[in-house]
Amino acid sequence: MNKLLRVNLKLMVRRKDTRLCAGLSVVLAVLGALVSKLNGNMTWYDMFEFPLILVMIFSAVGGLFISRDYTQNTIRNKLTVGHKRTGIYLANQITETIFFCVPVIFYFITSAIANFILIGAKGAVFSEVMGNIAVCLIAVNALSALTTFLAMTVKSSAGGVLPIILMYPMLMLSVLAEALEDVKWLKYVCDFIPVSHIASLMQPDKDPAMHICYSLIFFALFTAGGIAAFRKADLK
Amino acid sequence: MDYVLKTKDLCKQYKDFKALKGLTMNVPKGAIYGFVGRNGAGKTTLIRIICGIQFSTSGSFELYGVKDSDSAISETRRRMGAIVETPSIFPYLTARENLEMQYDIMGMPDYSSIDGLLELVGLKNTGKKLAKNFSLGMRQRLAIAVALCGNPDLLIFDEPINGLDPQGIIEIRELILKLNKERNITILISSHILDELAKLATHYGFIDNGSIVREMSAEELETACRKCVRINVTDCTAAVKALDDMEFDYKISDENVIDIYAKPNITRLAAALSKEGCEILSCTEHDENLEGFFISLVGGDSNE
Repeated sequence: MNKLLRVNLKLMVRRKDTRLCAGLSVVLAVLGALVSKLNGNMTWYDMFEFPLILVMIFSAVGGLFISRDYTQNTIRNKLTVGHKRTGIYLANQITETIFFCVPVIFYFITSAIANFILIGAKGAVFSEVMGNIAVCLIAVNALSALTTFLAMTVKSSAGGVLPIILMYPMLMLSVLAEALEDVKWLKYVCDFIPVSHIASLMQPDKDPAMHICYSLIFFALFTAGGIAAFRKADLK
Repeated sequence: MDYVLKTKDLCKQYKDFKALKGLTMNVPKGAIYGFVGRNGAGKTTLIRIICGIQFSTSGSFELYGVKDSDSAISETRRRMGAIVETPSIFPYLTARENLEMQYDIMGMPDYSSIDGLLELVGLKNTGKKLAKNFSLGMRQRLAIAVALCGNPDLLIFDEPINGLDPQGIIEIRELILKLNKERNITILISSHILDELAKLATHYGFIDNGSIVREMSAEELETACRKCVRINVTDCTAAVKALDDMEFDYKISDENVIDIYAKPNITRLAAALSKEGCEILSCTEHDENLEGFFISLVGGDSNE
């Protein structure tokens, strides 16, 4: 698995789209802080607006990165030389986790520095901001698992773009859950969806531990399901 | 005889379609094994199963004596290189970078042998040209180089000359022969371009409708395809006595059917047979090539 992880990371570093994603996270962090300052909005929680946009872009770029293994048939080279399927899946999952989380970490670091310079420390309660960052990062990681799952099970370029398509209904559910507070089942469903967690971070998260737990369950379910499906899958 | 690959009663079912129906074949060590069959006969399915890309529904195979159910099969696959249908290469990398990636996939940190590989397949001077800008022949050669990473003992090529121009076909053929002769690599090559296969193969496996209908060496095939006079007689034993007396090279190919590998004087032959109390019912000149042999083996019906 380490060999495959090394190859994946090497390929990722070579690709312009993945490098652009990392750059975009830094640009958006500075831009977000500037816009907040210009609007006279002296809160740090505006920094949680952009991770949702970032994760949608990452899901498309990350999904296509994995699905390229199928469209270019390079996955055959890995299987033919004896790599185990679980190893191939896990290497892809770790690559996606790095691809999703590292730029978001860059984003938060840059955003924190920019906010500190432009807004100052007043607009934030340290523990609440850190709680939100933790919820966001774990949710982003859970979405990386969904992206890997779809790209590895659909086995074509469609699997690469499916994650971003799925983001919209998930986002719609979270908006509906906000609007229709009385509908309990909608709230329960949204509690489980990482996109909803990220979407609700514009204010301090009321229950970060629960959201982190749900995101971890989401991650575990999709990773285990993806490995099980890939181990039995007939490829071309 | 040592066998690199043996399959036994291999079956593969896709929903309603049975692609392999108890396929049993044996690939001898050091051979160029021509795997001949029509489109949809099951050639690629078998290759995918051997490469671990798909799973068989039932049956088994052995690679270098290791069974497919054994956990060591993954490790054993490192002794094998394959091109399944289309070249599996990274289009946005150069030829050298592609090989570096394959070395990394295989966990080989020393890239020093890459130049030799590129020279072997004739891609040493491609420089910074990306694989996506290669011609089909160059991509195919790069795929062969990728398959050769790790010095495999067995190479599996699925339709390696499909879509190549005549020059490309010659180059690939010479490369395959060179690999077999100089490096003693066993090669399993599937193709339906029979004339080309006839220039390469030392052994043949004819597949039809998901099972092997016949396995034979190139010498056996040559014998089977030798120009002969085929006679259908009333009494085979009597005919054999007459033919022995006339000192002809012959083979009894079926009940009362004899192939004579000579140009006999038909009048004298008929007289000799008549003397032994045997009549000639029919007499035809028989001359087959690989294509004709294949058709006579699997029939000429469409497999649609």
